[in-house]
Amino acid sequence: MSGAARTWLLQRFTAIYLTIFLLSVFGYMAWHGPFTFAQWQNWFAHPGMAVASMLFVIAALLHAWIGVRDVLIDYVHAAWLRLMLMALIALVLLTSLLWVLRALALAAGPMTG
Amino acid sequence: MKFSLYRYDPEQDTKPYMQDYELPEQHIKPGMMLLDALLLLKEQDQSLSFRRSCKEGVCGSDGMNINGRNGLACITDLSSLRQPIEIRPLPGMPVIRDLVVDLTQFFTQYRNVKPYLINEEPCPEVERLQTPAEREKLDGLYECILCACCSTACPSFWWNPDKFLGPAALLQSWRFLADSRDLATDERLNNLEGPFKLYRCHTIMNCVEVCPKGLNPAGAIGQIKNLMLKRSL
Repeated sequence: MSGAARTWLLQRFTAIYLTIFLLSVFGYMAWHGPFTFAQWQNWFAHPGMAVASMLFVIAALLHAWIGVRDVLIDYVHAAWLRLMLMALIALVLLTSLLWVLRALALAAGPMTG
Repeated sequence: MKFSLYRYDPEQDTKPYMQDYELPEQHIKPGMMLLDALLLLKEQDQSLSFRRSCKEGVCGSDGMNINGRNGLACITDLSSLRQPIEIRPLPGMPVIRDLVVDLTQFFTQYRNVKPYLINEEPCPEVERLQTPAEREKLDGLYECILCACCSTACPSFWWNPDKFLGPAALLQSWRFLADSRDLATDERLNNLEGPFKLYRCHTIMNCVEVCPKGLNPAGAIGQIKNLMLKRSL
């Protein structure tokens, strides 16, 4: 598949997943909440929820990347500046991913203290 | 009736300005179009420049920005317009003089999509026939008069007029992709690859909003994107 078509499709798929995930999570919270911390932790420790939320993070980061990249391609015409800004955005997004991974790893690990 | 017209003569003016004109009410007749009024104003001030030809929305010469919206002066009813009627050249294009813009870029993009039938098979003895259903697919595509109202209303075209083909050219691209007699589908799609030519369209829909012929370039662009996907799956 061509790069541009793939990107375009990915933007749509991630958008659909983000919508479904957010609606279900907020719907569940509105229906069953408010939660105590223990319930909250229990909910996110469930393997299904762990996979779904991990997918959510990946989809959100991909969606953000494609969206910001689109804006930069539209408006920033100097190639060097565009590349620099894209690298900066990529760095922010990758850091976010690592930060989420760390949070999830800590949450899944045994509680200390 | 009050008018405010964009004036610019690069040989005399350092920068463009808006000039007020007034058309006496006795000149205004029911059903009069904007172009009729502009022609009367040109009798008052011969230096006023604009393009026009057929006076009936077929040639696509008198595309201009009318009260902030692109359209053809010849089929815009005067009575439908709020006063003072503000007329500017098509946005984003270099101004040659007053309402006359340089459409070189627009036609360069048009030529880029090879807006003609490509079929390398030997010529048949009779015409290349289509079924009524095949012919129907071209409705809403072949009617484009290339007035440039859509492309010059498109923000994506404003930012990247040299790289993004724009709604008018892409409508023509789909017109030949959708044609059962055209055999260059792959070649045409290859030409549209990359992030710029096709995918700068973000479905803003200004093109659909302003098209004086009621066509749907955004829909055509959607069809091309679908075809791109189908080809790659």
